[in-house]
Amino acid sequence: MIELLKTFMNGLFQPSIALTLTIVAVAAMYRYRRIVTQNKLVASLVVASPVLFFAISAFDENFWIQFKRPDNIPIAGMMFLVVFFTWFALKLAVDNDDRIREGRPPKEAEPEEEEKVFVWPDLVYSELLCLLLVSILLVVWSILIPAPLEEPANPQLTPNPSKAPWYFLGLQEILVYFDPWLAGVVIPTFIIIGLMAIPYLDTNPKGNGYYTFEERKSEVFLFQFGFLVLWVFLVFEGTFLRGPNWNFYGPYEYWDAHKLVPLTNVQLSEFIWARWLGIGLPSFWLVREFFGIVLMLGYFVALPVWLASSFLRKYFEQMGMFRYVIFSHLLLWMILIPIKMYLRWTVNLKYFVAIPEFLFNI
Amino acid sequence: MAKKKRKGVFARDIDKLNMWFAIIAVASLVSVLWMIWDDYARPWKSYQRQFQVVQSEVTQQQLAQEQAGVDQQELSALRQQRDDAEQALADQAESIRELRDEIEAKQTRVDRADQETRFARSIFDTRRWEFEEARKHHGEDGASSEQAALDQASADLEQYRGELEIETLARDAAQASLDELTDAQSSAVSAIAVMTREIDRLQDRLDALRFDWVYYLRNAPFMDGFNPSERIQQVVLDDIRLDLNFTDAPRVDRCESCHLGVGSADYESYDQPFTSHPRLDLFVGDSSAHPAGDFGCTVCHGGKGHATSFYTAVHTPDNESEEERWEHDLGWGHIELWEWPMRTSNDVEASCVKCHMDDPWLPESPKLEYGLELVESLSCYGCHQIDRFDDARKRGPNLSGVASKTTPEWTYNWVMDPKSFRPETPMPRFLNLANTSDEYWTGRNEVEAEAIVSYLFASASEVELDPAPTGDVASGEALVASVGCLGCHNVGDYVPSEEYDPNTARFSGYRQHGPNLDGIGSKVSADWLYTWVRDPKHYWDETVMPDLRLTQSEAGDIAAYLMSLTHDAFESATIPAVDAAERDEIALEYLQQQMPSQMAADRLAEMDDDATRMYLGERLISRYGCAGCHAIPGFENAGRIGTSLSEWGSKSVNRLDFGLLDLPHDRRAFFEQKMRAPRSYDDGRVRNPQEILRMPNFDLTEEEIDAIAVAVLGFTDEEMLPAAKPEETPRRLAILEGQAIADQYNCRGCHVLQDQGGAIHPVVAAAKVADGSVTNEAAGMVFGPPSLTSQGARVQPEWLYRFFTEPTTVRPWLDVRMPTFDFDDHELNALTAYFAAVDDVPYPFESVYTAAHEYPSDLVREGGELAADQRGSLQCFSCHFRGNQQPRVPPTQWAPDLALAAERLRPDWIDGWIKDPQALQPGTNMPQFYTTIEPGMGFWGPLNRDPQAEIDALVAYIMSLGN
Repeated sequence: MIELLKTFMNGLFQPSIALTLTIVAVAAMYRYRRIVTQNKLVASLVVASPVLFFAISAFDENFWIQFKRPDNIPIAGMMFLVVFFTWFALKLAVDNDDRIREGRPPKEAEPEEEEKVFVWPDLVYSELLCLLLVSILLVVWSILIPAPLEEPANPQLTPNPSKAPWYFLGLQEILVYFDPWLAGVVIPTFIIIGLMAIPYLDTNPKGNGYYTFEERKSEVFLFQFGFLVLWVFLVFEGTFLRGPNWNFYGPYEYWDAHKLVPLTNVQLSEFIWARWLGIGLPSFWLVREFFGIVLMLGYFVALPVWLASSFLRKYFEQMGMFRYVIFSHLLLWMILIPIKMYLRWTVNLKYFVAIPEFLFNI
Repeated sequence: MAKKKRKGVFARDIDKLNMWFAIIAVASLVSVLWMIWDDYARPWKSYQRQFQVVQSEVTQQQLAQEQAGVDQQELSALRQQRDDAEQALADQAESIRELRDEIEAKQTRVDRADQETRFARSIFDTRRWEFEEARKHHGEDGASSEQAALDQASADLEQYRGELEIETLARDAAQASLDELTDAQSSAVSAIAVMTREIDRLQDRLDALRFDWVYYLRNAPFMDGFNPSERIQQVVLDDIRLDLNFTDAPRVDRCESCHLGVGSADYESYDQPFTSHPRLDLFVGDSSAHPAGDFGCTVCHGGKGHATSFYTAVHTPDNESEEERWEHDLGWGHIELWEWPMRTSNDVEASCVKCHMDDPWLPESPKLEYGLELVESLSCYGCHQIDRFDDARKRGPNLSGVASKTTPEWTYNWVMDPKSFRPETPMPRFLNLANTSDEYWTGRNEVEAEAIVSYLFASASEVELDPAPTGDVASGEALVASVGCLGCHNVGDYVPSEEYDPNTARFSGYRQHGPNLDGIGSKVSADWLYTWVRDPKHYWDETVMPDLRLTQSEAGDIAAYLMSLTHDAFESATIPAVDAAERDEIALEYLQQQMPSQMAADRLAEMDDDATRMYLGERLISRYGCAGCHAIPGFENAGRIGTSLSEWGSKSVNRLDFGLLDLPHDRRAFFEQKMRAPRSYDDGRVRNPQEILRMPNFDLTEEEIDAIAVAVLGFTDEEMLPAAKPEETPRRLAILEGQAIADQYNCRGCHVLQDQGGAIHPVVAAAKVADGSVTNEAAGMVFGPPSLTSQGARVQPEWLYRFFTEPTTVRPWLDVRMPTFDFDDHELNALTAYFAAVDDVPYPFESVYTAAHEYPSDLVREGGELAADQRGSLQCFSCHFRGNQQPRVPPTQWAPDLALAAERLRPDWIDGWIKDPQALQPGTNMPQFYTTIEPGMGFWGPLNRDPQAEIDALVAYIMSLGN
C-alpha cells in the first residue's frame, strides 16, 4: 500500500505533471482565495503542507538521504517560509479586498495604523532583539549541522550530479531546455531587467502601501507565476528531484547513477522536413530553418501586435507603444520557458531554430 | 485585529521588551559558550589525556624495572660514604662558609671585570671602524684624532682583559681550595647520581606527566593559545605532495595527534590508537627506511592526513564487525568525498607500488609480491595495459608453428577446458562460462572452438623437425631428473611445498616456470620434442627455454621418456561434428558488425565452409584477445582488448558497472567478483552475443584473488617525486635489472640468489638417493647447482661473462648442467654487473687479480708446498679438483677445480674464503683452517707460522695454478 502510494507520488512529481500541478495550485489558490484564507481547515492544510510533506517523506529511506544533507535542509525550510508568507499576504489582501468592497479604506490606512512610532525604543530595540535571535539560531545551527567541506575540485572527476548553488538551480533547470547562451546569458539578463522594469511598466497606483489582490489581479498572478512556478518550484526540483546525470528521480526513488532514460531529441526542422514533408533536410541553413525562423518571428513580432489589439489591448492603451513593446517581450520570454519545457516533454523538441553553423539555437 | 493598546508614549511595552532582552541575552551567552566549548573539546585532546595516563603507566613500569636493576647494596654504601663525608665536613662548617663567601665576592669581581671587558671591546671595535673609515676618506694625516682614540681604546681593552684574567685566577684558586675540602662528599654524590641517572630521568618524566594545576592552566580555553601541552602533532612533507588537481601541496599528516605511541616500541601491548607500529624496523622509526618525519603516514595508509577527528580522517574498517563497532562507539560513517580513503590492513601493501613500481622483487610486502607475480604469470598484461609490464614478453607459447607441434584434436579440447589437461596452467577458460552456458551457447561454444582451432592450424607455418631416434625411456627419465629440466618443470603432481607462503618472503613457484610435463606425450609428437629439447630456439626464437647441450642420444632418450607421459582423456580426443548452418549464422553475426546486413549475407554466400571457418576463427581470436599472450600469424599488431589497469586503483567507483549484483560499491568488491566470476556482471541482463562480457575465467583461489586485488589496487595515478622514491644509485639499478633477468630466465629454479631459490635441490638429492649414490637427501643436496651467494665477490667479471656465453665445467661431479641461455650482450652485461653490485665489489675494471699478474716465484713455491698432499700441509687436493686430477675423498665432499682459479676467482675473495668459509657461504664443506691470524698460529715453519703470510702464499699459488 505504502509502496503503491510512493510510486504514485513519484509519478506525480514527474516534471511535466509537477509543473502543471504547481501552475494549477497557484491559480487555484488565487481563484479560491476566500476558502484558502478563511476556511480554517483549508488554511491550516495549505500552511502546513510543506511541513507535512517533508515530515512524512522523511520516513522514506531514499528521501531521507537527500533531505538530511546539510545544504538541503535550508531548502526545506525555505519551502515552508515561501508557502506561509504567500498565504499570509493573500490573507491580508483578501481582508483588504473585503473592506474596500464595503467602502472602507484598507486596514493599513486605518488612523491608528498611520500613527508614528519612535525609532528608539520601538524600532531599534525590537530590531536588536531580532538580530540576537537570528544570531543564536545561526550559531546553534552551525554547531549542530556543520557545513561539509568537500574534496579538492577535480576537473577529471566532477561530482555527479554537479549542482549549481541553490539560488541558481532554476537557471540550471532552464539550461536543460535552452541553448546555454539563452539560458545562461539572455534569460538571466531579462530577469534582472524585467524586475527593474516593473515600476516603470506597472504604474497602477492601487495597492501602494497595502495588500490587495482584486485591484491588480493580473499583475499579482503574473509575478507569482514567475516567482513561485519558474523560480521556487525549479529550485525545489533541482534540489530534491534532479539526481545523477541530471536525470529526474521521484522523491522516494533511489539515486541510482546507472539509471537510463531515453533522451533522443529532435529539431523542429527535422519534424517538418523529414517527418511531415517527407523530404531530406535542405543543406542551406536558411532554407532548413525557414519554418523555425518564421515561427519565432511570428511569436516575437506578430504575436505582440495581435495581442495589442486583443487580450492585451487594455495594457497597450495604458502603456503606449514603447513600454508595451518591452512589456510584451518580457512576458513572451517568460511564457516561452514553460512552452519549451512542455514541448520537450511531449514531443522531444530540441530547438525551434538550430543553426550550429553560427552556434545559434532557440 | 483588535485595537492596539499603548502603554505610555511608546508603541511597545518596554517592560516586556526588557524581559525578552534579558532572556535572549542569557540564551545568546549560552550559545556563545556552547560554541567555544564545541571548538575547544576536540576528540584528539581526550586521546592525548588518555595517552598521558598510558605513558605514566609505562614510565612507572620502567621505573620499577630500573629500580629493581640497581645494586641496592652498592647504592646504600655510596650513601653511607656521602653521609660520612658530610659528617666530616660539619666540623669545618665555619671555614667552608668563609670560603664560600670569599668565592662569592671574587665571582662578583670577575663578573664586573668581564662586563668592563665587553664594554671595552665594543668601544675598541667602534674606534677601529671609525679609524679605518677616516683613513680611507682623509688619508693617514686626516685620521690622527681617530688614531689617538683607537690607541686609547686598545689600551683600555688590554687593561680590562688583564684584570679579568687576574680576578678569574683568584676565584679559581678559592674554588680549588673549597673543592679540596669537599672532595669526598662531592665524589660520593656524583657516583650516586651516575647510578640513579636513569631512575632520576624516569622520575622527572613521571613528574612531568602528572595532571597538576599547571597542566590545567596551560590547556584551559584561551590559555591554550600560548603554550599548551596538548597540541596537534604534525609532520609537513615537502617531498610527498598532496594532489589537489589544479595544484599540489605538501602533505600534512596529523595522525600522531591521536596515534601517540606509534613511533615507540613501548606501547606494543596497548590497543589503538596508542599501539606501536608493528614494523618499526621498516616504518615510522627514525632509523628505519621510512621514518615518519620523511614519509608521514597517509602516503602508505591513505586517509585524510590533515584531519583531526576519527570520522574526518576517513578511516576504513577491516571487516563488518569492526565497522559496526566503529559506527556505534566512534561515530564512524562513510565519507565519499575523499578520493583516497584509508586502506584496510589487508590492502595496505598496495601502497608500496607507487614508489617501488620498478622493483622486481618486494620481499617486505609478500602479499603484493605474490599478487604482482600472479599478474605476471597469468599474463594479465596480455589484455590489460599495465605500466609495469609494458615491455614484458608474451607469456604463452608461440602458435605460429603449432601445426608442427600438436594436433587439432588436442588443441580443440585444450581450448574447451585447459585445466582438464593441466590443472595448474595459467591458460584461462573462455568458453562455457556464466554467460555462455545455456542451451544456445553449448552448441555455439563448439562451433567457436572448432573455428579457432581451424584458423590456428591453417595459418601456422611448417617447422622442419628432425626425426627422433629410438630412445630409452628409463635413461630418459633419469636424465630429466638429473640434468636440470626440473629446475623449471614439474612432472606429475603439483608440489605443495612450493606453494605461496605469506610468511616467507617470496612466492616460489620456480618449478612452475615452465609447463608441467605430465601428459605431454598426448600433446606433441616425438619428432617435435626431440627437435625442441635439442635446440628450443629452432622452433621459437624468443623462448626462454635454454639449451642443455644434449647429445642426440640423450635427446632421444628424453623424448622417448616424455612421450611415455600420456593423458588418457586427451589420447582419444576428438572434435565433434558441428552444424555448418550454425557456423554460418555466427559468421553472419560477425559480418554484420563490419558491413550492412545485405552485404554481409552476400559475403557469407560467397564463402565455402573452410572460408567461413577461417573468417570466424580470425574474428573470435580477435574478440577473445588470444594474441595478447600468444604469437599468432595475422595478429602481429593486435592491441590489447581489455581496459587499462595502470591507474585502476584510482578509478572512480562510479565508472564501474556492478550490473544487477548486490555488492558493496567499492573497488575491491568489484574486483574480487570480477576475478571469481568474470562474466557475472552479465547476470540478469539482456545482452546479445556481441555485447556480452568476454573476460575469461582463471579459476583462481580466494588467496590468489586477494593478492591480485592488492596489486591492482596499488596501480594508482598518484605520482611520487623522485625525492620520495628509493635513490636510483647505479648499484640499485644494476641489482634491479639483474633481478628482472634472473626472474625471466628462472635462475632461482636451480641457484640460490640473494638467499632465495635453489628449487631443484631436493629433486636432485632425491635422484641421488634413488640411484644409491647417497643414503639420505640431506647428503644429496651437495649435488645440486652451486649457491650463487657472494658470487660477485668470488669470481672475475670477465670469467663470468665467458661462462654465460659458453659454460665450462667447474664442478665435474655434478650431473646438472648449466644451460646455454644464448643471452644477448645487454643481458650479459646486466648479469655480470648484477652479481658485482649485489656484493658491492668493483665492476668492471679492477687491479691485482688479472691472470697476467705475476706472483713472486718464492711465494708460489711456498704456497704449493703448503697446499701439497702431505702430512702437516693443508692437502687442498684431497677435496679440490686440479684439472683432470680427481680428489680422493668421496664425491659428496668434492670441491671445485683450483686450476680454473687464475681466470675465475678474485684473489681478495680467496683470502677471505680461506679465513672464514662459513661467513661467505653458510653450510659449505670447506674447513676453516685459520681461526685467527695471530702470528705463530699458522702451520708452516718456513713462514714462521704466520697465518697471513701463509694465506698470501696460498693465494699466490692458487692464482698461479692454471698458468
